[in-house]
Amino acid sequence: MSETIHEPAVRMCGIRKSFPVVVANDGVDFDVRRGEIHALLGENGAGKSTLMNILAGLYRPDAGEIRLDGRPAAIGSPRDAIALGVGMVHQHSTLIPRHTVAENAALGMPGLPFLYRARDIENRVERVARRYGLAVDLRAPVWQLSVGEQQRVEIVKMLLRQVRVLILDEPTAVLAPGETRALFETMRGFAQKGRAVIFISHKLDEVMEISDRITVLRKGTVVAVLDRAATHERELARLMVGRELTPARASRGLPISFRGHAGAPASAAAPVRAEGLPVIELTGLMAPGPRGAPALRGVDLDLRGGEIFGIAGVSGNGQKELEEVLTGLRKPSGGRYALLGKNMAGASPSEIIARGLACIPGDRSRVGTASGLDAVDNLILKSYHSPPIASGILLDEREAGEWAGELIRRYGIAVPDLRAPVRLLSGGNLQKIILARELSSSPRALLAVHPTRGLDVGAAEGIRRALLAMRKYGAAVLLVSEDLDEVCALSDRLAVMHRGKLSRVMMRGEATLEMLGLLMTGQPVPWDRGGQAS
Amino acid sequence: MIALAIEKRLHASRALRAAVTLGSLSLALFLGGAVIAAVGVNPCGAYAALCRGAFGTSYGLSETVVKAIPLLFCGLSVSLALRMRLWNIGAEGQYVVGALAASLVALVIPGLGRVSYFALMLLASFAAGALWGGIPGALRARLNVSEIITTLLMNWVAIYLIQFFVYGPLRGADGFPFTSPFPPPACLMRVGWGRVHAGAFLAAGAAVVLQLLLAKTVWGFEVKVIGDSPECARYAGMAIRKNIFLVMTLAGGLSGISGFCQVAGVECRIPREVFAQYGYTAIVVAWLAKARPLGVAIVAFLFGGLLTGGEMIQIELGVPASVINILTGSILFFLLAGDLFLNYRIVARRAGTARAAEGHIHG
Repeated sequence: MSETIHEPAVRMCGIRKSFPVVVANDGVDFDVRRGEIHALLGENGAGKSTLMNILAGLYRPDAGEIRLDGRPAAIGSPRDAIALGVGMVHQHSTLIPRHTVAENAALGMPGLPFLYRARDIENRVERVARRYGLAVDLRAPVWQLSVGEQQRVEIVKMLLRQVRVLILDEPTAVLAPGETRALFETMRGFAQKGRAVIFISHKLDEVMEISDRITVLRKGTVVAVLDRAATHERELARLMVGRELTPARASRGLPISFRGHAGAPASAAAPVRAEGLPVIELTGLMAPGPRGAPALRGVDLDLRGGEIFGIAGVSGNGQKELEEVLTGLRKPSGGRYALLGKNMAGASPSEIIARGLACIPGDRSRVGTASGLDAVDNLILKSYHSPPIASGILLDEREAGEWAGELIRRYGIAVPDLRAPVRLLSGGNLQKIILARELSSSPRALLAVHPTRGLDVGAAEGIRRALLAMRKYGAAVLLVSEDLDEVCALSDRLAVMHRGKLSRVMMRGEATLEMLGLLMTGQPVPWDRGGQAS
Repeated sequence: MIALAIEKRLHASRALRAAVTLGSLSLALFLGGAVIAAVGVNPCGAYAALCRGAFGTSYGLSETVVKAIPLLFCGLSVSLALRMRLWNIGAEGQYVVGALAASLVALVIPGLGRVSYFALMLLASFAAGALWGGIPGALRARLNVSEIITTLLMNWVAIYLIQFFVYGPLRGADGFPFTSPFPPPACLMRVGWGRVHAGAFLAAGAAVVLQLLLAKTVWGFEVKVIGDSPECARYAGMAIRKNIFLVMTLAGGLSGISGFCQVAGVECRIPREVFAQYGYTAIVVAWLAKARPLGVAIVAFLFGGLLTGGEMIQIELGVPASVINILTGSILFFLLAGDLFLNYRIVARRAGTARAAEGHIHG
């Protein structure tokens, strides 16, 4: 016993894991001490999630060994992992959509009698949730919750199981600054009890703020293990991507030019610049949410060609409904929605697409792509019905292949097998497929919802540059994002969405992070020095 | 200690798919063999007799083709729906109303020519089947009512409807519960080989057309995307409701035509045993063919042989023909169960270390 005291809480040695198309982990050594917050940093596809999925029992390594507190651990399933005190909160929801929050928390809860009272569970869940400031509606079915709320439930679920090693896969991606701070408090409190936290993130400032040590992964191998005190953000960024980064900014000229696809219809030449004319106009737009309660409560917006309008805010405040109304998936219950002067309230998705709105959806694997189909099918998803891909009722497979090949080359999408389902691709490449497809139609307006969520720094920069290029090219870009730095850096004008309404519109430079933080959490903002709240 | 565990598989190889399909079929044959042995017959001998009866003689082969015709139509019907992840359990009912509609044309309208009878009966049977498939389609598209339940229930409506006609208004002059023979021009032409009739060409043509529609057209692409990911399809501007209705209507129509071919091609009237469960067997056919039209043609032929051979062993060896039902049922059962091996893999690993068994089958 005594000799294991100084062993780390987690030690993974020589971990190797390969998938049919890629080697995700190649000889990875990784250790986490007790009482430590350990950040796992790396680009998309670097192998962070794979490594943690192995630790959490979802994957089996091809080779390598795991020791917990010095003892060899056989982790064959998430159940084994939990029994050994290792719990993971995933980036994607693992909750059962039709069950309520309390029922989800009860699943696998230790010490639960065969027949239980729902009230007992709700009490237990509520105690834990309140202690960590993670408020959720316990009786709401999970499918009605936003992504952010769902992640809160997942964290609560793990805390209820009293794990000793808590793995968080990009937990802050969906949280407001205030909530992030509360989460960090939770993490610190957890670590102070001698437990360990593994924190997967792309956000360098957060990594520098919260972690004790940092392991940097690149292309499936460990490139550095650093003490937080002995490093800085620039070094981390360099280690992570293997090159220096120059962030995209709205004020800077862009080298990227967006010409129409070689085989695209003739109208793909530069469109008339719509400057001055509103491209997207919303007046008092209202829409119901999943529970029937109003989710959009009078949104006013006018967006012109050649500008980026940013909408910041915590998800679950109507962003999803706004996306659905703008793309025609949800009928507005009131107000006006016009695209290039034509009323589009209640129009079908295809009418809206034909009017010139492209969209990068917030859910890239379920809405943005048909995940079981291959890259070619996904790239022609919006051009399959018009020439040159369609000729009459026939679909020209050769033209489709050429169209897709051209986009894959131009956008540098890494597709190992053109005929493999796209669910095998990384998030960054999936997003590139969506981006390439949406921009290939030379849209007049582009709605981008959380376009860089979960992407590595390099891929995120690529997406941001593409948005700026669209702006330069004369399109109206509506950017919905939770990443405040991103919204502030890219937007010409911006507003915050809170409880189905937009805040006062701010010019770039006018908004400060503090101000946005207040607006996101619904606090009054002293707009003028006089302190008058709007 | 060795422990077995189940891991999710991302991609199943072609060889594995073939192995699982063959494995499922062998298990079903084994189970059928056990039943045959239970009635006191040597299973190997019975299977040999079955094959001989189905494929060994010109007569047997012609009967196999005759039975493959309705199986092919209904198999295409089920496959088309499956392409959009819809379960058409109602091929049986659609087949029955198709048979009824064609018979009504033949028996109620006298004195038409060959071509007119053919066109009208084809149209009537298609329309009746389309109605029987379209109603569940509309309910699914509009109100999200499960098409599995509605198509299944519609079968009973169809069966009682045809019984009403056969025992009532359409009962033949000789008083038995089947109709009078159709006027000769209303019968489908025989090709001069056993009972094989012109419906064989119709069915083969339908398979080719459907294959081309699905693989080469804009509409086929939409069906593929909707089948894979309805949410993505909606976002891409595809009309999901319209396509659900369209696919179910077309699927119903295909089954309906098979009813026409059967009554006009085989006996040239509605026989007592018009429902030979082709519509249900077709579900197994479609699943085995992975909903690919040309695959359906091959599988329908093999299943036609199974039915013909089943009759042969009943006559020759006294094995109940229901053994064949057990066989088709267990084939579907094992195939569905076999999917577990395509989506997951079972790995053996030594407990006590985190080392996984290396060199396992890869996707």
